[in-house]
Amino acid sequence: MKTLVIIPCYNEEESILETVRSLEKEKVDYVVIDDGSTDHSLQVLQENHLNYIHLDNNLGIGGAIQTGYKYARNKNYDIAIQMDGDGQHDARYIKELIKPIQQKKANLVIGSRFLEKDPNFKSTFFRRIGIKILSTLYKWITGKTIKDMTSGFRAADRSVIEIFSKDYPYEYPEPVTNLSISHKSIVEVPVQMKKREHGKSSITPWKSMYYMLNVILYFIIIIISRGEDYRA
Amino acid sequence: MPNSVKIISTIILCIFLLYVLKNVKSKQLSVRNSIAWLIMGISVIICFYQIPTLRKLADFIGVETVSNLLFFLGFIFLIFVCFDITRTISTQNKKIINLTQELALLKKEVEKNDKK
Repeated sequence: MKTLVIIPCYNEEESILETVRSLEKEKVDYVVIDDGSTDHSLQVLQENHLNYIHLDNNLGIGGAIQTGYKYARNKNYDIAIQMDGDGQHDARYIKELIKPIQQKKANLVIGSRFLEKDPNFKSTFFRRIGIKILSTLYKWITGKTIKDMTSGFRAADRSVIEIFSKDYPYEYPEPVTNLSISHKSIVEVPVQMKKREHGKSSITPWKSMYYMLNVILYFIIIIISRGEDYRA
Repeated sequence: MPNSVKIISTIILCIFLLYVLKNVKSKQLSVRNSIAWLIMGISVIICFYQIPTLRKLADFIGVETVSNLLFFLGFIFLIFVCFDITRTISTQNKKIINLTQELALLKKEVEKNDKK
């Protein structure tokens, strides 16, 4: 199956080359979406002749990822994998991630940090609680279980690529899309994520709380405005 | 309301209406967006000369004074305009994102063809 790895990149000049190199062993196609970086990321992509798409405006994570899905749709890829450009997602898990799609057991596969104990995954109390609340809310709305609602390490089959290339949320894309395609078969596989090697994580306790409250609001508005039965 | 106030207000509002029309003519304001402001301007002029009717309306709604009723109507009008602007921004934001994405994908194809 033709597989594409989508790597959003915003100011990742220190880690983007390493991330792409880690994919070489996996023998999959990739595309880096440079989301209007203000550092030397674009230069790194050009000098190393990497496969990249440069966005003139900074669209944010949702807009960048959707560009990758549009590229995957245009190029007729069967599977599209999202992978962060900061090196936290481990390319060795790609095989595990695409297996359920190859076996036609899932439309979307999420690399989950909570199925097995991950010694590298360190997060704040608020962030853990936030993810737990989102997961509980999701279960309550859809009757289905997703433990890692915020994981950005995901693989999508052709039907989901089609949906995402047409409609993808620009804010809080992971939890919101989990809800919008809850009628599809979503499976989690255990992954371990690497520690961030370069740069600083921008997540603070306040941001975690703000994120969670916003996602809950998004969920409520989406449910009311669409009037769909998510348990159907 | 004294006549002098009515006349001055009418002149100011007429200048405002002409300014709106000038902006439509020079295409700085779309016809669609001008409609709300034109209706508002004309309505205020009519209100100046229909104070007794407004008083009846205020009594009917239960508002103590005519000026309070006008403030209330003005407030509702501004909320309506604000909402319309927010909606326009949301639509345009989506269009800009789509255009940026399509432009980037097209550039990629052009560069690839150039290399060939």
